[in-house]
Amino acid sequence: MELTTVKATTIKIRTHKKQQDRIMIKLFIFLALVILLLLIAAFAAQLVPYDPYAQDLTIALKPPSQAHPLGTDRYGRDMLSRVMMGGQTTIYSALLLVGVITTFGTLVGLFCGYKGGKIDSFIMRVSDIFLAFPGMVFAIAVAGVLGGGIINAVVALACISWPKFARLARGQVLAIKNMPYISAAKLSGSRATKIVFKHILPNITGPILVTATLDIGTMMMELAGLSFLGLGAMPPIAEWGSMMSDGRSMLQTAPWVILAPGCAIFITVMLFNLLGDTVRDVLDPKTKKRPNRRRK
Amino acid sequence: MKSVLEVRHLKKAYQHGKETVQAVDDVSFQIHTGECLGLVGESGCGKSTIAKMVTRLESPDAGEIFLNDREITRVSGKALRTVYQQMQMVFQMPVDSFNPRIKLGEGIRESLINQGMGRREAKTKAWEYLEICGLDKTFADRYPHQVSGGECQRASIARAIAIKPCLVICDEATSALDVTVQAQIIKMLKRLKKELGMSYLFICHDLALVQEICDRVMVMQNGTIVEQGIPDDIIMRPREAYTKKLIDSIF
Repeated sequence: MELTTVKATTIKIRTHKKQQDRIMIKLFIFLALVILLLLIAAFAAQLVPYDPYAQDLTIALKPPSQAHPLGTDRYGRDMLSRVMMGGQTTIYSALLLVGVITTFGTLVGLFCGYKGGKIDSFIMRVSDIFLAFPGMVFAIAVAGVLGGGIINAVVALACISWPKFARLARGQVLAIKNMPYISAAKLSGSRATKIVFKHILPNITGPILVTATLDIGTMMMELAGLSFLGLGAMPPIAEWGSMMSDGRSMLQTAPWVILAPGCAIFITVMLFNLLGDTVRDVLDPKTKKRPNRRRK
Repeated sequence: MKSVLEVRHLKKAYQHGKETVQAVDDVSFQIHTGECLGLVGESGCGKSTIAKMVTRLESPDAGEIFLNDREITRVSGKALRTVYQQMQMVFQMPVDSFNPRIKLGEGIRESLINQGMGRREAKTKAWEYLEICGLDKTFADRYPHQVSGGECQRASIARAIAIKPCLVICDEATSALDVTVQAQIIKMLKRLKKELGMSYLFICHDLALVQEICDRVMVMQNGTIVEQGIPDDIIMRPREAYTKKLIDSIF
């Protein structure tokens, strides 16, 4: 009787450990794939087989072949080269965007959560206003006012996306602001900035990091969406959204022109989302139980 | 006798929806140099609120607080940070009172460094105080979740006394610990009081502990002090009905 209980517990612990290992392996695989993707995008200029901007109308709209694995577009530009080059624009703009909104939103949230009072209510009402608009419509409006260009698209999306991080960070700050260790830090004579950045920020990075990773995919889609509508990257710059927009009239005659960047977006967004999910599994205390947390 | 802490007509109310709860209502008391003043009462009677107001983690609605004859009721910023060089607090939940991402040693060093002490000097000082509190050097490199509650509370006391305050406020410092550890901590607090000449405000709900460590005790009920005197007197000859009830509930 007792022995079976012991056995059951052992098996439980073992499966738990196995799950842990599996999550870590998953994390490393996705991280490696994402890094590979980032490297390809970063060194696209050196890696491309053809000049992504060189036009050659004699080979326009050729289907995939040995010489051009993803075919050519209507100006005879090699699709593979353009997809690689476009990755640079799309992925790094999305990363820049997420970096900006995460930093800015977190700083605002830290400030509001710690300070409290009227200024907190004011900033939170402002963020409510931003959240009240349908995101994409608001981004189109902002991008329309600012004009085309990938940087303007990033600015437009940053304008609508920061409140999410501000709210998240603020909520987290409020949750730990009244913990005894924050009082202890005050009693040790630390300044407010030191308390915020040394005691509060390291304790709230987990959820923020998870949200940021999960947001990379979404932001990439929205950036590509703006470019597709002609409000993001301007031709001839290779960007997945605008490339899809270019090819949409030829969907029936030359589907590879739209499929290549489309698949690139699909794969990249999925990869970043999977990475985000795995990061959450690793970092989120709700889904992860650390065994032997407290020594008895 | 010189008073370390003097509190006059302290008041604090909390809003609970539409209701106003008078947590502390017109409380006055003094703590003399080298004295241990006990504060007992059931939970919710306002003991912890007093501790929070004295340490200025919360502002009182009315009344004055004097620390070494200096008024600290409204000080803030830099002046408040100098107040914390003379007054420290030991918290109820030892593990929660240390940042989970910072090692115990660094938590202890923080106040020393904030006072302008060099990093290396602060490090040896932290070791020294850990040893005074019965922990060896290795604890400085551990995280709060890697030590037991009793060890953590010792570290917390080391942190409180490291900057040699003249007043230490113990807010239920032993109630989260089991009985044997409790006895060790009390013994240590008594020893430190004698060696370093500190005063304590000892907030507690256990009259037996109060009898053990305190020179004087105040009984609190619904935000007011109903009775005060020497612990033995209070326990043997309680005057108020409430104090009697409190004693009966323990023995």
